[in-house]
Amino acid sequence: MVGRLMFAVRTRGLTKRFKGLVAVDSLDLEVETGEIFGLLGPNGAGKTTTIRMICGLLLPSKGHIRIYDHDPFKEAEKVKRILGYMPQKFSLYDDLTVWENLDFYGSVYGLSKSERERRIEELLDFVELKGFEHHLAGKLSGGMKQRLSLASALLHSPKLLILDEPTAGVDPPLRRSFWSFFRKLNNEGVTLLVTTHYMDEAENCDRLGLMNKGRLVAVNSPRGLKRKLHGGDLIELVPKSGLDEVIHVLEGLSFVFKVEKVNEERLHLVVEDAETAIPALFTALERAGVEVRSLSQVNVNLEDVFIGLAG
Amino acid sequence: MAALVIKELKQLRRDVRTLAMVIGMPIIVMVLFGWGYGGGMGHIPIAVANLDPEGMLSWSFVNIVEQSKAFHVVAYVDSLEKAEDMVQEGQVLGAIVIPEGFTQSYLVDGAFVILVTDESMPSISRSLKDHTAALLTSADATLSAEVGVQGPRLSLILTTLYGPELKRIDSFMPVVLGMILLLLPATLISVAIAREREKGTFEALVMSPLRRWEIIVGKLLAYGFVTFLDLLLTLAIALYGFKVLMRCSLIDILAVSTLFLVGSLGLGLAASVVSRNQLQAYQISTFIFIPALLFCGAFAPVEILTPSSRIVAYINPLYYFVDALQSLMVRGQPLYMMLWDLTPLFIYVVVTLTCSLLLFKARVD
Repeated sequence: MVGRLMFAVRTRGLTKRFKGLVAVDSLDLEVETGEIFGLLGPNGAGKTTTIRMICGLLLPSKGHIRIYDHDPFKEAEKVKRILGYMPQKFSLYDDLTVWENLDFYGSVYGLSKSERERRIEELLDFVELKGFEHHLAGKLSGGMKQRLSLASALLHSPKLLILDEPTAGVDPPLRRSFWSFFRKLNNEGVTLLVTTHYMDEAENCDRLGLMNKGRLVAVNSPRGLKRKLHGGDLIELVPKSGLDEVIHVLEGLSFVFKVEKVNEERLHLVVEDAETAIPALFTALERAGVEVRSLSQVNVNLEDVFIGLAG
Repeated sequence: MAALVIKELKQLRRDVRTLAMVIGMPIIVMVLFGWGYGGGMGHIPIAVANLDPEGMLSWSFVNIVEQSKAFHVVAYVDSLEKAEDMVQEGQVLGAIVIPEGFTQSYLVDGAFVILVTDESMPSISRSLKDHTAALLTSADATLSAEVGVQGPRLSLILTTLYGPELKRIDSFMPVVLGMILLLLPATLISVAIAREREKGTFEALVMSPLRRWEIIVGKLLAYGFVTFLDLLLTLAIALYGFKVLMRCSLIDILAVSTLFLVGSLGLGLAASVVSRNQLQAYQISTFIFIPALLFCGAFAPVEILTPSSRIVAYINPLYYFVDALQSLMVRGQPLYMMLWDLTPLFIYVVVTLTCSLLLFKARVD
């Protein structure tokens, strides 16, 4: 690809050991430019350790990291300007006001006074913190602190935004608005790397990496991951007649990969693509004289995927 | 409530650094204290001038001084001026001068002995006076028995350098200033950095484009400014509030104090580099403070500590600072005569700052 780098983040064999414990185990992670990549895994899976190494905050025991083809340790200066980072723990100054915090980091990033004023106004607008400029950061609510952190990470207009559990401890409505911020940023061309252990919000990512016990178990789109669990889309069929006869009919259909009895009246079928398979099934069953009570796609949730793939 | 006690002890046991401090502090302080102060008062090095060399009793008296456990006669001179010079130059801490016609006067109705002391070193001066007074009482008994007269016939005359009698605040001013300039900057800056680590703000700070040295120098300048104001405040109270003696220019005091202050900031930085939280940073600063105070000459002059333990004083920046300020404020010596004190203080600044720069990691591991 000419003139455009494929990967915003790329790690090879990234490993971190802490006193005999392997927190991150030979991780090959690739975040493509322009995507929202989610790192999903339970607490203790090694997500934060991975993020900290990528940011250059923690020296890896082994392996390489490239951020837009720069080494975060050897070319820290460059990487810090490309990358915006929002740590898991609130890391701004409780005893400075919202404005003072942003103004401090703005000048650290070399923004002039007028640039800072413009940018801070813009960001406060974006994260909906207008009117709180002169409140002490320490007095803000949890959700407001998170929004302030996000604004601070965005001050220098980074190409890559790394968010470590940005919605941890945030109530569901606010979590939704956070994801709308992320989507907006993404539409403006920002690449996002987000860690989370909320399965529902992981659905918002373009691609997901499932992490468990320091390893990357699977990488795919949310839909791809779900399909991977069963080897395709899952469809539930409840016929009016006996199951055995129906199974026999289904086994004769080439686009049905697998048929499974859920209980005495339900069947689960695995097909390549539910959208085309459902009409085809109706036709085939009708032709075979099978009466159908219901036929629909089963919405596999990521939790099942996670348990299925990581366990 | 028992549960609370058990919980606290458990937590303490798991904080290895704090635990080390809790156990190590009394041990190290007591070992240092016993080492330095345990060997009796030690001999005070003095010079003796016998200006009555023909007299029989003068030599008996010299003999008694030599036998004394309190003094160690390191030089014999032949005039009061030379004795004073030796004290002034610091070759001895005091001098006993037996005046001309000592034997004659003693036989007639009574003689006196001159004690030369350096008032800029109040603790030595006091201990010299006490010991000499005790010595005279026993010498009187010996001499009067020797010649068969009725005592007491000996009296003491004091000649003080930088005296007469300084107020206590004058001679202790350098120590007090040193204590403030050691403890305040060191704890302030070490807690300031440890707080960033503890609260997590450090993570965002090191992710900014600020370089390592910029973070260190930035903190240094901020707290340097604040503690410099403290220095001015302390001096203002001392000079205008209590009219403390100052036989030098204010600029000289500020120069030496600022040097020491920067060293203390460096010490605090180094302490913060090895601490994980504010408590530890504070403890390390205090931990250094106690031995520094024990071995700076404030409680007892370093010269009379157990000789091997004096090394602690010689690596103690507070010792050099106190000595330099005494030379300035009480003795009125010019700054260039203080290289002996200023060189170690320079080394102190360079070492602490270099160490903290080298050890300071812009990471979170």
